[in-house]
Amino acid sequence: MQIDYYAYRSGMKKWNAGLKVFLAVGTLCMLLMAGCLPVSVIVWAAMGMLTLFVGKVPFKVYLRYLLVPLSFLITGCIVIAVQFSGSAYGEWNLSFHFFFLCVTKSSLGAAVRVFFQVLAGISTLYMLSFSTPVSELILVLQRLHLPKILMELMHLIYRYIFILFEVVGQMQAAAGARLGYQGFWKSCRTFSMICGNLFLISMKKANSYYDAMLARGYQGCLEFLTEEKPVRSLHIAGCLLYFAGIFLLTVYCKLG
Amino acid sequence: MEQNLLEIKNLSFAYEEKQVLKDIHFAVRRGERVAVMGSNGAGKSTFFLNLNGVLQADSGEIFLEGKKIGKKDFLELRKRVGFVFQDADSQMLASDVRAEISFGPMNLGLGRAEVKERVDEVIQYLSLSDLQEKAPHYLSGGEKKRVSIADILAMKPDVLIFDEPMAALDPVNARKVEEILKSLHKRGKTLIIATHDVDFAYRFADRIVVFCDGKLIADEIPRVIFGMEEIMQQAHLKKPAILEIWEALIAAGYVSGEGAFPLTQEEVVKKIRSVNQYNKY
Repeated sequence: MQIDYYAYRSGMKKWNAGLKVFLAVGTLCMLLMAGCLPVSVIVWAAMGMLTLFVGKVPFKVYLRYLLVPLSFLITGCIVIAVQFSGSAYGEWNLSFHFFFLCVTKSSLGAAVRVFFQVLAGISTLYMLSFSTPVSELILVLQRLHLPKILMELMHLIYRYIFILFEVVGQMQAAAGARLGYQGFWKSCRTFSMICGNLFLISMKKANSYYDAMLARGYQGCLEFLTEEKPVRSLHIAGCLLYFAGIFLLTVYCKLG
Repeated sequence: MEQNLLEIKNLSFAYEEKQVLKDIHFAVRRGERVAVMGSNGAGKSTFFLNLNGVLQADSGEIFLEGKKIGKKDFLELRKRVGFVFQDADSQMLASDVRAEISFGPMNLGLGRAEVKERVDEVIQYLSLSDLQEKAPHYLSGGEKKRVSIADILAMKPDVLIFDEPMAALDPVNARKVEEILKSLHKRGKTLIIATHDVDFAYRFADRIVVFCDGKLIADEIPRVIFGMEEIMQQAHLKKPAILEIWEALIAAGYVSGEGAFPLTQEEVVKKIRSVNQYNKY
C-alpha cells in the first residue's frame, strides 16, 4: 500500500506515464533476451539509481521493499547452485553418507546469473511502481485499447481498496480495544466476525456510493478530466541511449 | 409572487415495505437558505435523494421552475440540484482531486475545455490549488469535505443540498464550511442544509423545515419554529442558546423586545453594550 504513497510524491511523477511503461517493458524484454551477467548488473544499477536518486524514494523504504523478494530469490538461487548426487563430483561437494551435495562452477554461475537477472527485473518493476500512480497506469492501458469496462473496474477497485482498508483498520482497532484478540481462538472468532461484518458494510457502502454517483449525473460511463503529461525529448533521448547501450553490451556479451 | 424554483407536492416514498416519506409538501425560492432539521431516521436523507432525482417517489410531483418533472426528466433534476453527501468518502471516485472534481462536469457532457475551465474556477474559489494533485485517500477530513463541495459546485447547480455539512469536522473546518455556505448564498445559490446544530440553523437559515417520522411537521422562519413547543418536543430540538438568553433578558426587562433579534454572539454583545450606554446617559 505504501508504494502508492511514494508513487504520488515521486520525483518522476511529472514524467509521461506511457514513457515510463515503455522504459520498463522494454528493459524487461531486453533483460530476458540478453540473459548475461553484465547486462543484468547494469540494468539493476540503472533502475535502482533511477528510483532512488530521480524518484527520491528513501533508501530505507526501498531496501525494505527489496527484502521480501530477495529472501525468496536467495533461497531459489541456492537450490539452483546446489545439486544432489549419488557420487561426489563438481568443484565443491559435501558428503552426507547416502548422498552428496555438489556445487559445480557452472551451477554456481547459473545461480549468480539468475540472481542478478531477477534482481534487475525486480528493480525495473519497482522503478515503474514507485514512480507511477495506478490511475496513470490505467490510462496507459486505456490508450492501448483494453476494454473500457475492465479499466473502469480497475479504477473503482483501486479507489475502494483504500476505503476498505480504512474500515478494516477501524474495526480491528475497535475489536482490539475490547480485548478481542486475547488468545488464538478469540482472535479467530474476532477475525471471522470482522470478515462477515465487512461484507455487510461493503454492500451498504456500495449502495450509497452508487447513489452518490447517480447524484452527480452518472449515466453508465466513468469519465474524468485527464491531463496529458507531455513526453520530453530529453527523456526520449535518454531512453533510446540507454536501450542502445544495453543492446551493444548484449551483442558484445554474445560474441565474446 | 416569485415563482418557486423547486416545488414538491404530495410526495411519498417507501423502501420496500417501510414508508419513509409521507405526503410531503415543500417549496423553495431562488436564493433561499433552508435548514432541514429532525432526528436521525426522520427521512431527511431520503427526502434529499428524492429532490435530487436519485430516488423516484411512489407518488407525488416535483416541479422545477414550474415545469413538472416527468419520468424522463430525472437527469435534468440531477443536473440542476446538486447534493453534497454527508460522508465525503462516498462521493470520491477519482484518484486525484482534479479528476475527482471533473467527474460531474464530464457527466454533463461538456467539452474538455469547458470542463477544465470549471475545474480551475472551483479550485480557485475554494482555494484547493495545493491539493489538486493529491489522491483522495491522502486528504484530511476537512480537505475531503471541501473537495466534495467543489465536486458539486463544478456542476453549477441552481440548488445545493448539503447533508450535515459540519458533521465530524473540527471547529476550524466547520467554520470554513460555514464561510463557504455564506459565500454561496451571496452568489445567489439556493441552499438546503440538513443540520442538527440549532445554533447554526438559527443564525444561518431563512427558514427551517422540521421532519419527524417521515412527515414534514413544520415549515417556518427560525424564530417561529423555536417558539413552537410541541414541534420542538416532537423533533427533539433544543432552543438555540442565543435565543433563549435573549428571551430571558427581555423577560427580565434588561433589553427591549423590539426590533430584530440578534443572531450571533457578536450581535448580542453589541446590543447589550448599546443598552448599557443608553442607560448611562
